[in-house]
Amino acid sequence: MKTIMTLCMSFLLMSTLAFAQKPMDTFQVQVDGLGCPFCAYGLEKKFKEFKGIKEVKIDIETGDFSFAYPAEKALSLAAVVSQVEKAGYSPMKTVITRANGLVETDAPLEATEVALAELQTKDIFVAGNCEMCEARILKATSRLEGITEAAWDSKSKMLHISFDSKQQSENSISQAIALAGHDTKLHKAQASTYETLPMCCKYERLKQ
Amino acid sequence: MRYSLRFLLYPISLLGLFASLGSCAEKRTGSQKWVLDKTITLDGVNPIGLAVLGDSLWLSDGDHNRVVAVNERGALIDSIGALERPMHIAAHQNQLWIPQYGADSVIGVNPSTMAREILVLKDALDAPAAVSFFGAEKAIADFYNHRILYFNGDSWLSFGKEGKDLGEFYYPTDVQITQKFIWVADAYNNRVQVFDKQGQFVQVIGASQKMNAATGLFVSEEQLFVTDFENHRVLIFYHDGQLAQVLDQGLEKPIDALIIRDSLYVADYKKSQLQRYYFDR
Repeated sequence: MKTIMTLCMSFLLMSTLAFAQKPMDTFQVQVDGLGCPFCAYGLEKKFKEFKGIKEVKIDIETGDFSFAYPAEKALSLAAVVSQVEKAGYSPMKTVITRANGLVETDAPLEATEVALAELQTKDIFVAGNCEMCEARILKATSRLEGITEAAWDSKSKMLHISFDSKQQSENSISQAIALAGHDTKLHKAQASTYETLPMCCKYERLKQ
Repeated sequence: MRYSLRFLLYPISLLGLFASLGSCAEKRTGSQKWVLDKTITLDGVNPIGLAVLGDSLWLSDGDHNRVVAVNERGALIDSIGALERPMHIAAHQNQLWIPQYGADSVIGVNPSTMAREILVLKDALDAPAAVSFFGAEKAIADFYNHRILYFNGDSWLSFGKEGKDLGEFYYPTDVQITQKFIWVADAYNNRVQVFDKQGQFVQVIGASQKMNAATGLFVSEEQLFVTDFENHRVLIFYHDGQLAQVLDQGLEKPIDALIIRDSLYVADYKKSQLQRYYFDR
């Protein structure tokens, strides 16, 4: 009887230890534009709903968002970026440290070489509301080749942008921004994209 | 933010009555506007909700998962921790009532004993953003469910659904019960809506002011104070919806307002400050 009891206890202990030591990948996401606590806490809350997610932390001031996820699920970098974007946020940099020590990251885009470029500067009206909008708009422009400088002001709604006119135009830039969900005078965002924006980013649509 | 209004306003109204009786013949010389009196810096606190319990001013500090009491200089004098994203708090009897946005619950805490009590509800909340008390009545702004839960002293009533029409909400963030009405900060519809105590729509306020996230409100006997979060201003309306004043100097992401005695306090989330105003009579 004693032997059976000992065996059972050992089995329980081993199972508990195995569970406690379940290998976890850690994820660190730099999210831009977390200006509104309702949105930021909402991001945290929605991620907490994922089964198996642990140690969800968000620092509103720095935009650092981190969590741990079971390694066996092999959550990919692209899936994390997509999930954060789906929640309406703009992940600027993502680093995954796998349970086996491997590190994956999406390196930031290098500054464009403009030695032979024909630089042009434009002010483009872009509809939006807040810091999260700003992050999304700037991220949309940063993905384009030939952009050297971009800044958007939430009060005036003007995007001040410098670019290589051989590679981009006001039209192509406006199109990229509209694809991200923000109306410009040249291109309007699709209704389905607009609907995915977080509540604080639901700006007044432009009439075109 | 809600202090039991009866508690707070009765002495103020009595004082106001005596003051007005004594000054019937006096000529009003002030601007009849709210004027900035003092800026109180809060070290390491990003305030969201305001409430007064006893003599203490309490602030919810959602970023740091706590509720703190501060003195007139902004120094911390008390703290309640281990919370999950506390939002627009209320004071009622001896307790602070704290909606926990991250835990889908509302709890009452007695700061003297630290005893905690959970507000038991039949319905599940999804990110409660505010709670209000008025005698035996209570209300909760249920953010992701786009509705208000209201207890009339006997039973709970739920009203509102997601939408843009009158009577519908798009992420309500604050609520206050007064003698006759229930006032709701319909944050991302950029307006305040007023309901009777059967949950029937009565009035919309601020819809033409181009607010950008009406995150917090406070209703006094004569006025309604609304924080226009992304536009960095506080709009002050009369109860009929007429705009009385705009406070837009030195604010960055105001999120709640409260009148304590004769002073108006505005919580500034981004600047970690309280702005205090007096009324220039």
